Amino acid sequence: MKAFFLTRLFREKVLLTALLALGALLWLSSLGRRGHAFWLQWQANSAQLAVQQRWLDNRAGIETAAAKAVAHLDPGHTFSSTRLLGELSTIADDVGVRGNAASEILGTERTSQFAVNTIQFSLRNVDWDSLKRFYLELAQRAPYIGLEQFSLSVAPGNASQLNVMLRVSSVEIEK
Amino acid sequence: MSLLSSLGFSSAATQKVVLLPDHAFFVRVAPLTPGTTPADVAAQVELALEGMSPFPVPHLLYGYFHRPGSGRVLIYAAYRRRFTVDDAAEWADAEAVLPALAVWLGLPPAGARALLVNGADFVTALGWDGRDPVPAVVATRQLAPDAAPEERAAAQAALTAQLAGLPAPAVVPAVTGTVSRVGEEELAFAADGRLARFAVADLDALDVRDKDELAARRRERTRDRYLWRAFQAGMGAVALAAALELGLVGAGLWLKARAAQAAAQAPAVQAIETKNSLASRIEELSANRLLPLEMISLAGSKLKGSNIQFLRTSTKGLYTLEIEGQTNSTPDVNNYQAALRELPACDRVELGQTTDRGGITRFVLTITFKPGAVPAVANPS
Repeated sequence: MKAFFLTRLFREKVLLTALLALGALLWLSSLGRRGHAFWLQWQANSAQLAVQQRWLDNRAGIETAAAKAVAHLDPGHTFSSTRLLGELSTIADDVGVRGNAASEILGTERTSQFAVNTIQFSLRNVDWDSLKRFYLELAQRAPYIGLEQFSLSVAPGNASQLNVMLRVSSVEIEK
Repeated sequence: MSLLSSLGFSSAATQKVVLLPDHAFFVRVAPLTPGTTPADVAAQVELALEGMSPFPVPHLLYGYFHRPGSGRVLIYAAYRRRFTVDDAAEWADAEAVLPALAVWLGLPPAGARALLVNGADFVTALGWDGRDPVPAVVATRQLAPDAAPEERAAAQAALTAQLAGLPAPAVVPAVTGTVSRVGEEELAFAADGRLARFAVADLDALDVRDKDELAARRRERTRDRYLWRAFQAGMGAVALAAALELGLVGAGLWLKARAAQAAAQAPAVQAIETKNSLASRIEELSANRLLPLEMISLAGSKLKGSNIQFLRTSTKGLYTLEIEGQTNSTPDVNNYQAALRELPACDRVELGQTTDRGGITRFVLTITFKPGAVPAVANPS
């Protein structure tokens, strides 16, 4: 190789060296970029695996805690999303605000043992006493039904009327 | 196996050297002025050549041998026209062009000694007195290529006579024109079972070619050496890049396997996460109820005597209540904030965006209650 190189013309030597240097530079810089990307991916992957491993390591404890969380609940008193919808309508009916109510099923999160159903429920133009009665009725269904979010505002144009937005969840135990 | 290869020098490193017959040169050993520096030797050699040669120096091909500290210099010169243009063309790619006798000058110092070198058409005598690395006696005789042994013996006898006072000469065959490079800076000849070594820099003095041309060759050699090293560095970088590329490919496969592992266990982990999250929510529904009306009642209990009206309230998590209100008395906002801080159940109160327009101040207060400090009451007021 050395003999081949040294017997080239000067301009060929310069050209060969420059081409080699350029090629090496481009290759190494491309490697640098890809190496950096690999490093980031490796870090993300390592973090993901570490987090997964922590969850897997805690599986037994979580299973126990989950079983304990629903142990004191009576499956017969738990609510599916449609039953929850019906129950909220019943309470609104009892309180006399059925006509002011609207509801929407937001979703269900489910495991093999139990599920949590979530509904958005709103009451428009209700007075404070009706709202309070509705709230107390709802509170009696705890812990099978619970409030997760609550928003109250004065109705526009009538300071004695209130608009309420609730996010209500119910526990459902798989039989 | 040659001496060079037996000494571990690769034949691939062999360089071409042109060894000219000694009889083509007139040879003199000239004394140097005491204290002559190596840099001055070239000038003294030219001066000596002007004195001893019938031709001007530019018409001569000459070289010399000198060692730092030596009191003399060996000079050899030939009339340039003794060699044809074809000869000179052959020299262009040679590492060095030397008289055959110059090879023996690279032998390691060995005290007083004498050599009779038998070439095809010459015999050369070299004698060292042991006090100086430059030979004290150098003489050569030309012979016909087909000279009779008696004729050669007579020449050897005449030359031996010139070596009077030195040990009996060893008769050795002349070296042929090959050389091996030792490293980047040294050349070595196999000479009668011994190794004659020269620094590449010293060869320029020994070389009989035009000195300006040699200087140009030296510059070219230096430039080529740097270019070769740059080329080697480039090759090294390419080799490194290839190794890294292979490593990256391997690492990519390994990472792919890890990603597959993560993807494979993701559903199981997701199920555990969901179970944990739902268990926490059920726990909250059972043990930590959201008590919005109780929080509003508690916050409203501190409104007495102020003109503040609530416009909107909303919960953020289990223990935080955000109140958007208005008043026509701006100081009421700060007074109300201070009053809320006095509540035992209150952890902190933060005043958010506050605007004042047309005499009405609108504000946002975020109240965070201490966990478990808000009691569930049967009839919030």
